[in-house]
Amino acid sequence: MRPLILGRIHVCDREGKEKGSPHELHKFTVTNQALIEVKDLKTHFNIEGTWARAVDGVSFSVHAGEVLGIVGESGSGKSVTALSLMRLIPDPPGRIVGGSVMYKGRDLTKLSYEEMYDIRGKEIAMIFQEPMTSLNPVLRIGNQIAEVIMAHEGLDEKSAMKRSVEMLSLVGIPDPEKRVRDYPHQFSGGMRQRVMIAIALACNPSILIADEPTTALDVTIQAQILELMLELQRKRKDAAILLITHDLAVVAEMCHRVIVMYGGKIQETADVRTLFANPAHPYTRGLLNSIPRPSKERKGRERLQAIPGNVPSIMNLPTGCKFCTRCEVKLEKCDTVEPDLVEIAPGHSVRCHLVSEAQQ
Amino acid sequence: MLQYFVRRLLLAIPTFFVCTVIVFFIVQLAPGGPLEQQVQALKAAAANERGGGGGTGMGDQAIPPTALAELERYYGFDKPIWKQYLMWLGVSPRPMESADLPVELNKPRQAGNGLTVVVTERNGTYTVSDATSPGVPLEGWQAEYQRLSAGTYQLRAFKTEYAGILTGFFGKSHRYQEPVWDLMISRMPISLQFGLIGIVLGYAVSIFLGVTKGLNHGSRFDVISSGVVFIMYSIPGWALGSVLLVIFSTDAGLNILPLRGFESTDYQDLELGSKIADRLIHFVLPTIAYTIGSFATLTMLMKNSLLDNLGQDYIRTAFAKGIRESRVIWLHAMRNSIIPIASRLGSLISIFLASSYLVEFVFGIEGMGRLSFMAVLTRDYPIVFAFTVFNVVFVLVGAMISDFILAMVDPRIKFK
Repeated sequence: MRPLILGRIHVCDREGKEKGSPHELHKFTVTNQALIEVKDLKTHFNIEGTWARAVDGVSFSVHAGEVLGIVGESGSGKSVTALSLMRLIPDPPGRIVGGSVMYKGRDLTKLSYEEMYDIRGKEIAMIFQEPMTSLNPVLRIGNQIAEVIMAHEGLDEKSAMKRSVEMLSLVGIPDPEKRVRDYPHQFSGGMRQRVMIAIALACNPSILIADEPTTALDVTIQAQILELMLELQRKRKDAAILLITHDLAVVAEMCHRVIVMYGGKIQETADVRTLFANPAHPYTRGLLNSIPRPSKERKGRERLQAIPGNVPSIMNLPTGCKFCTRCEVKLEKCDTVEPDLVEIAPGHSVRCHLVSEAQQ
Repeated sequence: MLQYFVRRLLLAIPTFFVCTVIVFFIVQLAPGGPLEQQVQALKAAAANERGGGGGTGMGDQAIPPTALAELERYYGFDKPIWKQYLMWLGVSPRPMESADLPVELNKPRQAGNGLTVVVTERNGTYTVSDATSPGVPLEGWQAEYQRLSAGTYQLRAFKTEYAGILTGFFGKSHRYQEPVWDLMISRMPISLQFGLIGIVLGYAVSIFLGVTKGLNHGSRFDVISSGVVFIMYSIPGWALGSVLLVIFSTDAGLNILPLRGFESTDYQDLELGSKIADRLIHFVLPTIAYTIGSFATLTMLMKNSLLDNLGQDYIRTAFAKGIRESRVIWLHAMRNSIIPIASRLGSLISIFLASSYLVEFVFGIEGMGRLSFMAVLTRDYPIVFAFTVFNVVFVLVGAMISDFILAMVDPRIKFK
């Protein structure tokens, strides 16, 4: 049987080649031990004959115990990056065309489907943006949690169900003994995301990938859900969380380090304090400027600054800097020459001609 | 949920009556009823007897009015239509033909079975009683004057009975002079065979094909099988049947399969094994013709349903959990994909009436299709009404079964 068709993914990407050496990430954070190391990852999608480069040469590593954030607008390649780590890219049309994802000495991009079954859910777990549709509507909640436990820990159904109850109570669902017998439609959106977290944490994974876990939820629920994800690190000190979001407030709250993506490439990466205090890339600055900051002072009541224009079409990306079509400070060569990702301070790298030139 | 279905069942009762009333009245409104047809036949017979040109000038008066009145009475058209409906339902007594005898007032008359009846009159009402005890009403007997022609009446005594669909009596066919029930039962095996084979084949092939196509969406197999299924869908069964007959059953072709009928003429004399074989070879071509168009809808429904579910977020979740592909497909995706298929299962109940007039016509099979179609043409009301009853009941019950199955397979559906 052919590799399975997964859901449709919104693909937006760009042209242009990654030049220079893969970026070495800085060793700030809780530990220095790289849990997973992504090198020059390229995931492209074949759209009517042309290859769209959704992720084009992304390198980073996730360290044990940290929360790494990936931010960017829709279509910047952050979700595709996450799905590539899990090898959940629907093929066709998508394919990981290059790079490596090293995890415990093995390259995940080279593993067989058979071998990936033991990685997914057990070593790397993932929760998704849409809690309303991410659970199977015709299976009981308990079975959906027990399924992952039975698949990876070889427990029989009875003890797996017992664990399901424990997991439900861990994620704060009241009356878990009864609720395991319920179906997803009997849960609210926030409750369903709790169930998703229960499934993700069921086998104590070393990495939890959360793809916009709070986007679809009420603001009042968001903090609770984020707090629950940290539960993993309470259970397992060396576990890491890869948090994908477009919400900079969530990043500020949760992350140790941040990667800013645009056009399928990393544009800037830094620890969270540096990024907020001293953003170097015009895109990062644009993102930060578009956050409303309520203030009584005159300055705070100024008009919110939005980044002009839209994310360019995936089939029609600039050859130079991916951000040049919207950049307010672009140089002439930005149109044609793609800048390299340059380390401007320990742990702080930026892909921008302006910044590179100022350095020299 | 039980409450819901009880309510549905109660609601089905008025629906049933409304349907039957509408059909009962509309069908009888159409001209050219059995009476007219009978009259035409008599006229034609009379014209033949006269040698085609006797020129006696009788013309339209060929049927004596008394005979016409007898015919009317025979068919029950002498009663108002609402009374006919009640009689058909079985809530109003209908005269039994066997006990319809002309009598004279106060004169005993033999009524068969050693019974002698006498009709007495009192204050304008007529009482039928046993001749041994006049005046005491005889259970189930009635007497009334029948109008024969202008100014001519005949007193009749007749036994009545409650016989209608509510008592399980569907009347007697005008055309065949046999109880409708017997006529339908005798054709039931053909329908069941058509229906069962059609359904088993249809569902087995369609589900298998739909799943295979869904998992190989866009492949060469998918495209070609879609083409084949739609070509099959577009060929009328009877047209294909004629072609198949020429190929397989005539001297011009292979001549290996029987040309007509449902069984051989010597069927009754065969051994059990040969009987089955005989039925089978008679059934090959009609079954192909009957089922040819039935794959497309179900196959496409299955394929699209599976594809749709494979693209859902929860499938990605299942993969992200590290669940094996086979389990993801067969448990997660299939469990959801069969919901639209399962909701159609209720209609299976109508296999008892499964038929196709044209296919039966081409293959010379006396099945339900021919029975019902000819009944409409010849205004054989009891048969038409019987089919109406069965169809209405099957549709109502089928819908209920469908809903019940749907509630079984889809936990999101709750009936209140």
